[in-house]
Amino acid sequence: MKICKQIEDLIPLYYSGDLNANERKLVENHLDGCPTCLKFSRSTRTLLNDLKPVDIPIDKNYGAELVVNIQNRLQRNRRQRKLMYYLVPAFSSIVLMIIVGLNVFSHNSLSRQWLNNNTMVELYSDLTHSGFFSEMSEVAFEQINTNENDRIASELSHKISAEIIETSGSAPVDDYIVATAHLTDREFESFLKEIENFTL
Amino acid sequence: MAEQSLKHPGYDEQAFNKLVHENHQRIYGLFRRMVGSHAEADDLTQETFIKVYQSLPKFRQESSVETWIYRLAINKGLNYLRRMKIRKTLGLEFADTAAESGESKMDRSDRNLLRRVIAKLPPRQQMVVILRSFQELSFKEIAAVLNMTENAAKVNFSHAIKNLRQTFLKMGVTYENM
Repeated sequence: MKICKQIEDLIPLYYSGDLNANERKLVENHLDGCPTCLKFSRSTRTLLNDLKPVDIPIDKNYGAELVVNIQNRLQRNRRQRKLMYYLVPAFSSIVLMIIVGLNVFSHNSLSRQWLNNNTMVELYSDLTHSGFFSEMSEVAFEQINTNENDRIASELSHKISAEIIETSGSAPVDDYIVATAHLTDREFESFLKEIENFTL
Repeated sequence: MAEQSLKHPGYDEQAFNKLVHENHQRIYGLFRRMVGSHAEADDLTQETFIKVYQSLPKFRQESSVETWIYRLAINKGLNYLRRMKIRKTLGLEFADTAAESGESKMDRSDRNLLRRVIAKLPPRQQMVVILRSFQELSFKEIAAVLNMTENAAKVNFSHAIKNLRQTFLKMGVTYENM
C-alpha cells in the first residue's frame, strides 16, 4: 500500500528522533493498525540501536604525533616543490643549449661547405647567383673594377667561360647570361671574345 | 582560535598546529568509524589537515573553521569511499568474503560486520549513516557538510537503513521478532 511505503520511509527518522509531532502521530496511528509496518519498525529500531556510536580510543600522544607527521609531509612537499623550482630552469637551460649547439653545428657545416667552393669561379658564381652584385649600381660596379680590378675581372671572365665550357659541352645560353650578369658592356665584349677563343 | 593568523599559514605554523590539536579527535573518529583500521584513518586524517593547510588562504570565513575542516574531511571521506567502490568494481580489492558467504550465525552487533555492511551502501548513504548515527550530527548539519537539502539527507538516511536491513536479511542476520 502507498501509505505503508510512506510510513516505512518515516520509521528510521521516527527512531532517530527526527520527526515533528504531527509526523510522529501519523506513524504511531498507522503502526496501531498495520502489523506489517509494526514488524518493520521493530527490526528498524533494533538495527538503529546497533548503530549507536561507540567510543573510539585515541592515544593521548596521537595529537602530537599527528602534528609531527603532518609537518614532515608538508616539509617533504615543500622540498619537492623547491627541487622543481631548480630542476625546471636547469632542464630548460640544457634543452636550450642543445638547440643552440645544434644550430651552430649546422651553420658551421654550411659555412664549411660554402668555403669548400674554393675556386674563384664558384665563389664568384655563388655571389652572382645569390644576387650579391645585383643590388650594386652599374657606376659603383665600374668604380671598383678599375686597374687591378680590371685585371681580376678579366681573369674571372676567362675562368668563368672556361669553367662553363668545360662543364657543359653544349654551352647553354642561360648559363652564360647568369654568369655574365655582373659584367659591364665592355667586359661582356671581352668575355665573348674569350668564348670565341675557347670554342675555336 | 586566532582565525586571522590562519590566513597566512606559511607564516604561522603554531596556529596551524593548534588547529590540528583542537580538531584531530573529531576528524580521526569520523575516519576510524568509516574505514575501521587505524593506519587508514590516520592517513586520511593527515591528508585532510594537509588539505586544510593548503586551502587556508582560500578560507572565506563564511562558516566556523571547525565546520570548514569537517567539510573538507567529509569530502576526503566521500572520495575515499568512491575510490574503494571503484576498486572493488574493477576487482582490485578482495571481495568481502564474510558478507558474501551467507553465514547465518553472525553476531549482528559485531562492529566489523556492521562496518562492512555499511560499506556496501552508496557513498552518500554511507556518509549520512556515519554522520547521523556514529557522529550524532543533526540533519541540518549533515545537509550543510554534504551540500544537500535537509530533506535529501533524511531521505538518504531512510533509504540507507532500509538497504542495511535488506543486506543483513540476505546474509541471514535477522532483525525480525526482536
